[in-house]
Amino acid sequence: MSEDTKSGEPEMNPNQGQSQEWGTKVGVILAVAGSAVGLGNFLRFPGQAAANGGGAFMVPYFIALLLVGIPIGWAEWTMGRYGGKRGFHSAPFILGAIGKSRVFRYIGVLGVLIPMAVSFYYTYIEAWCLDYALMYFTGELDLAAAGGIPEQTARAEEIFGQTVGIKTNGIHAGGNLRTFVLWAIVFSINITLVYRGISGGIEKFCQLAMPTMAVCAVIVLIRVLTLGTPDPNFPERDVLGGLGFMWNPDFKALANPETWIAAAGQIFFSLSVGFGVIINYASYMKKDSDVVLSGVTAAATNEVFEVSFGGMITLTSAFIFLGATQATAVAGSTFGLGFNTFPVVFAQMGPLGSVIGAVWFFMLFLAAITSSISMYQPSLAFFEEALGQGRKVATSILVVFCLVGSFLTMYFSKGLVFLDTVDKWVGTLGIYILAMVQLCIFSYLFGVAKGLKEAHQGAKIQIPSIYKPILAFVSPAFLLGLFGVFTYNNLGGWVKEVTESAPAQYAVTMIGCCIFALCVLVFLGEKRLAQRGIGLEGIHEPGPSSDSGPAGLED
Amino acid sequence: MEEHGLNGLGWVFMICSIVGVWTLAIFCYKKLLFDDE
Repeated sequence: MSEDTKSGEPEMNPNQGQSQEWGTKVGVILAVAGSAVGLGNFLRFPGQAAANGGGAFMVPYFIALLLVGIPIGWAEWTMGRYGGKRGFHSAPFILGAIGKSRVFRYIGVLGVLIPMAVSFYYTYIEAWCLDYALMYFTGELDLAAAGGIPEQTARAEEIFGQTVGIKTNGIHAGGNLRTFVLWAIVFSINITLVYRGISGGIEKFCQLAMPTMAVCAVIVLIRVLTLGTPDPNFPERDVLGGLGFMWNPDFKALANPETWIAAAGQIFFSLSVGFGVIINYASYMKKDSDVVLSGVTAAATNEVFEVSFGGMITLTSAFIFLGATQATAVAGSTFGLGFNTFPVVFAQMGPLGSVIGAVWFFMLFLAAITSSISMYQPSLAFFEEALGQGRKVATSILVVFCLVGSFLTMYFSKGLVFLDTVDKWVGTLGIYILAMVQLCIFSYLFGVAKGLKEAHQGAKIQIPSIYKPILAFVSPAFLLGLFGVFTYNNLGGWVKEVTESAPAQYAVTMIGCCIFALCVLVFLGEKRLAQRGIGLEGIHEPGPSSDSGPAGLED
Repeated sequence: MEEHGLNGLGWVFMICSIVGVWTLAIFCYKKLLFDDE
């Protein structure tokens, strides 16, 4: 079998679907970190922290990082590299190989559905960021002329409404034709990068985009920390006041279970675990590449952006210009904070406000695009594996899926109900389920001892032995508890929303159709692999990773 | 009106959190890039 896979075209030919690899050690880490660093780092984290005890929020936050985020990350990195050695790169076939059951191939469909369905709306949001950056670059977005802060806020809401087409369904009627054009550009960039391959497209782009994002964040941070007391009428609204609003601890919050749930949820969603991306990215690593230190490094990179930039910039500047009441009001709304409040904040910064606004939204655009490219690669790998086709055909199928899904998201833009529904059912519920499934497969089917032994192959640091019980009991229990509370609090309301809203029903129908189509593809892939004599566990005696391309890819 | 100036514990939590994540990141990148196999 390995002779089969060795006899194909040169591995760099992207059209043949040949094996791919990360070019450098840092490449895969920046790509995973780029996937994790998104709008939530800058817009969701500070709101969650401020609303749940300020500085005290960091206690459950770091505990959740150690008990949930990093161990699940290690499990995914390890399973991904293991799958890659067996010739598999997509979650369905990797989970099938490790779980040694066809059932896990079908459950693993979630590892394709989640990134793909989230990309349907994520590239749309990415287009908003690009639109705002361009409006600042061209001077088109000048709220200072609108009058005082209430008028500027109203104008900012109006511009956001026009950008996303929030009042009416339909791309023309909704007024978001410009956003549609920008989405087409952004989508083309994404597909081009993904089509160019792991090292030629994704890795090279992330190596450029991540440092650029950091530079943009530093520029905005310096400006925020040097704002002083811009309005003498409100002497308490200064930099230290803003930092105090975000960081002063309220220890009473630690007695509230909601604080712990919010902290665990923030870590969970921020690190991109249970998303289907890490398992796919790690499958392109060499067989003896380190996964333990790489997993921690990617998580640490994400935390640097979240804590030191997100925690310092966002609510500090909102407080300085708008005061505690308004900053509190917008803190819980990611879109409200990013697209309604921040333009008002930049308008108060004087002539430099437009420059800082352009840098800020360009940074958000980079954060979004490094995340969105990671959402396409798992689907691409799956289409290649399931159909035995090269990258060109797989990319074409991916484009068809995404054109339909994104068009529906943009068309049903009224109240962002469609987008919101996909985000809830796939981008939230689906992630919980996939994370639990992956963790259970790792801890109970693969086995913690075998899993850690596999993880330690080529590892530059050892996983402390305390993580054996953590992976076996603590992390699954933590996740299960989080999932139980989450479903108890939300599921009833979500079901009600679907029964009452037609766009929400369309969204759920679309998700169902995607699941069905992906399951059919798994079935076809199983048949194809079986015909080639490749079982659940893939290539049994994997050769060097560079030779272990997608199992029996070329028919 | 609630007091919002950064207090002593606020400083501690802010500095510890930021220094903590940077230290972890620097340790990881140093080990990954400069430590031999």
